[in-house]
Amino acid sequence: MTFLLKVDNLKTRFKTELGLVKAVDGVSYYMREGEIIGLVGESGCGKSVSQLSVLQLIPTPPGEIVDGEVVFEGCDLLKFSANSPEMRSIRGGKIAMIFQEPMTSLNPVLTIGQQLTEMMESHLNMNREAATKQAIELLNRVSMPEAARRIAAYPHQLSGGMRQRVMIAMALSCNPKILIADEPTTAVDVTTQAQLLELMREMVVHFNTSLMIVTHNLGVVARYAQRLYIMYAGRIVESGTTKDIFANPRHPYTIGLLASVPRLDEPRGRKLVPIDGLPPTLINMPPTCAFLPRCAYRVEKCQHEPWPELKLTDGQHYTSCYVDTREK
Amino acid sequence: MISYIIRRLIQAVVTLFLITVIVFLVMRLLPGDPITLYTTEVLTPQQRAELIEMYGLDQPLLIQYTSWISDVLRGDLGMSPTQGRPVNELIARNLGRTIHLGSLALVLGIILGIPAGIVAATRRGKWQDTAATLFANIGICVPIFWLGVMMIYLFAFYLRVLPSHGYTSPLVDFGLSTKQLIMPVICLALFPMASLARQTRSSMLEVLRQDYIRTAWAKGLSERLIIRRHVVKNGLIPIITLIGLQVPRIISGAVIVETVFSIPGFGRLLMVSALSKDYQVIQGGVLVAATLVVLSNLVVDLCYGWIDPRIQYT
Amino acid sequence: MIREGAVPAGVMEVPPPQSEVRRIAKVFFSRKVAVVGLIIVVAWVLAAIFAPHFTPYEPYKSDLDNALLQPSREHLLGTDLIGRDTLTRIIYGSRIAFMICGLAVGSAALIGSALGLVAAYYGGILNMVIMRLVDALMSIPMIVKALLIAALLGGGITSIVLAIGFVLTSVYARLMHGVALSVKERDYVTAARATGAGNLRIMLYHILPNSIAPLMVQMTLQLGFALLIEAAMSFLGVGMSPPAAAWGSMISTGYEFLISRPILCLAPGLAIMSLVFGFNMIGDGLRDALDPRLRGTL
Repeated sequence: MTFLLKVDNLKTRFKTELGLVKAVDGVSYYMREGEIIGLVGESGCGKSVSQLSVLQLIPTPPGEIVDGEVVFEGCDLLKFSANSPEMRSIRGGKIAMIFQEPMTSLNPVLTIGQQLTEMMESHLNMNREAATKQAIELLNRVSMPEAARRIAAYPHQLSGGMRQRVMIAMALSCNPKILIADEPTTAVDVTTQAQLLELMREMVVHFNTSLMIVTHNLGVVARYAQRLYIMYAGRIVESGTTKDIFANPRHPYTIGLLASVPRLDEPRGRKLVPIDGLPPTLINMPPTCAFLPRCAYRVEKCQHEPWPELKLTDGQHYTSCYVDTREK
Repeated sequence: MISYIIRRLIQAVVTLFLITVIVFLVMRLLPGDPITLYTTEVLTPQQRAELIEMYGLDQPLLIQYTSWISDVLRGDLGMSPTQGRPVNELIARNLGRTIHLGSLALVLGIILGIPAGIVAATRRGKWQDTAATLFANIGICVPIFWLGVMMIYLFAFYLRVLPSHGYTSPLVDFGLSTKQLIMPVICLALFPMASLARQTRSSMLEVLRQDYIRTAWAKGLSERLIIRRHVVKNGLIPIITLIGLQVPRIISGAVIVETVFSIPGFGRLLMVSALSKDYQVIQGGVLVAATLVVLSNLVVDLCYGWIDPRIQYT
Repeated sequence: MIREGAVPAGVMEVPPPQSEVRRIAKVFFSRKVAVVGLIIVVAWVLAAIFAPHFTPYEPYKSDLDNALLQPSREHLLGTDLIGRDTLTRIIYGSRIAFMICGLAVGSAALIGSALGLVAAYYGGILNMVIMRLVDALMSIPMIVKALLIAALLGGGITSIVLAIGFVLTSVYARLMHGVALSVKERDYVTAARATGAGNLRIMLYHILPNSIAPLMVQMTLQLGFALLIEAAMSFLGVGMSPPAAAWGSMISTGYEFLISRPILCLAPGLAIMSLVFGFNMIGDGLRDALDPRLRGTL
């Protein structure tokens, strides 16, 4: 089975004045055509950084991709330098990314039309007219009302939800194979959230694009993602199909996450159980499991052994834990 | 947009009004015999009484102000006691040379300073950045008068290639005028140039940190396009305000430069008047200088409103 | 590389505990220029304090036999027109520089901040009047303002300090005004008021601490500016006059001998430049260190 994208042992580090931060410490995952994947974890766990690393958008004096392979359509992208024409044509052209803050992710002094057309002019070599027509078409597709008029509007004249639609339109304008959505719904209200996610799913189906949703919100991925990767402190701690993970979470962190989120299908009166402690700082981490201080399932072994590798538990379900949490 | 323009206009008028009030009060309320505002001679008590009545110095301040301001608004800035000529005539004669000098300096500062800042920001950490930043940092430390003196020594006395002082209109003798202006313009332009370079650099760097630049990179656009279209356009917006800020600095610098190079301009007029305690000229000069500054700020703000779509389309 | 930048948000959500002062110091000292600036200023401070120990000569005693000497081993920078050792006068000049600049900036900061604070805090018409006055004042070019005050008050140290202070006041008024405005609306201030904190207490305990950082940065940067203005004024004849060993006036008296003894003008100018450079670099360094948002951009 060929993968569209296979990331293998990706490691990205940052040199800060407080020490070396291993933001991404050996992350591996894959994506197939037409899939919707979720990458879940709390703030600071490295999920955004991992995606930025795929596109080599990491600011390079403090940051550095130190290891790993990013194999896209059979070719390791990390072989190319960040500024090379190859990477540039991948960005936006083959792999597109949309970001969290629609307020600030659009250039305030350019019209939306200009920001849409410049991608098509750049990647697809279209002329201004054709690109503008296509831009209007795209805006219609993302359900932007009065698209033809809005082309000449500036970002500050649009609401957050509409700006995010523009971002989606921009990202899809050159027909990328993969769309990475980094916390796409965090900065918008709940109703808009639902609309945007539906929109993205439609687009995925229509363009046959694969979608990676990076989020801390389990609710978002529960409905839309087919497979999940749970990330903690720079590594993947559990992976599998969404159904499987929700039904049988194996890693203590995942269990904790699910327990702390309210669900409609659970009995009334069940208390929400937050996870003890705080997320770790990623500086000078000990070699043992990073979740250890907060883990309710820890055993003697966890104190001495290094952080466990991902192990297959059943089917496609992997977890990185020494303990069989089903027993508790 | 219209409301923005109107608001700014009103602000400008209010500011000008307040400036007249400040100048008036400062001149009248500070220590010393108020009659010295109008004359520098020593007076007999009788002469003094006469003059006080003539100039209305025995009237309440408000009356004095209204009569003074109505003169000012008609263009009458009083009579200079030391030079015996109307103040507005003195200023009008000399202002042109200062504006000539100042505009050249401002233009020079802009065309050298801003690109230097852009280069420093886009080649951050490389030798271009270090060189430009160092130059700019040193540039804002140089005392203008000292630079003038040193340049006179080097170019006028040692190398004998430039005249050490004087001003000729370019219409009369373009070659001589240029030679005479080289040193003064460079001295006057140095601080604005360095300041603009510094601020442009930090403004560009600020823009480079913005999310929309990250979006631009993620779209796979070329570096040149990103700089040209996304970075510079956004970064220049605050710089426009900064250019406006250079106007008062250039006026201040002109006082020094004109004195050092013996250029008979507005700045030197103020200087000479300060030394001879000619308060009529000082008063008029302050008003004129402040008006120039307010006007230039107004122009700058209007440009700003025209360029920044966030203001234009609200 | 154009894409250098700060560490992306979210990478370091929970910084390890470290004293704020330590962190500021660490960032400050990591910038070479800032350290150089600090060294320069400290050197001048030491020179000012221990002037008599560094200099075998008197700065104000004339010695006509040794007038206008070239730089030599006895007189490293030569002597001036009445035989005073130039180097000695430059070192003593630093005392004048520090005194004037310190007083001017200090009083400007005090008065300006008070104005801005009161204006922002009480709001309303008082605010409008004060801030419009500040705007109007800022529209008058600095040297022009300084000339005005100096002409009215005559020469001498007091008048110069007042003139320069007058020139610098508006900046602090604006600064404090901005800080006070933003802090005033914060929740913790509302909370403080709800628990009965009086106006004075809120101003001192909440608004003031927030303003210390930008205030310190401005003050350091303005010290350099104040020195340049003072030197210019002394040179022009409305500031410190001879025989005071003010650097600006030294250049003005040295101008007469520019052709024969250029060192008389060169040396004081370099002194001015070095001290201003020192102040500016410290100010820049402080600004970088105190504003975490700017980390990595200057």
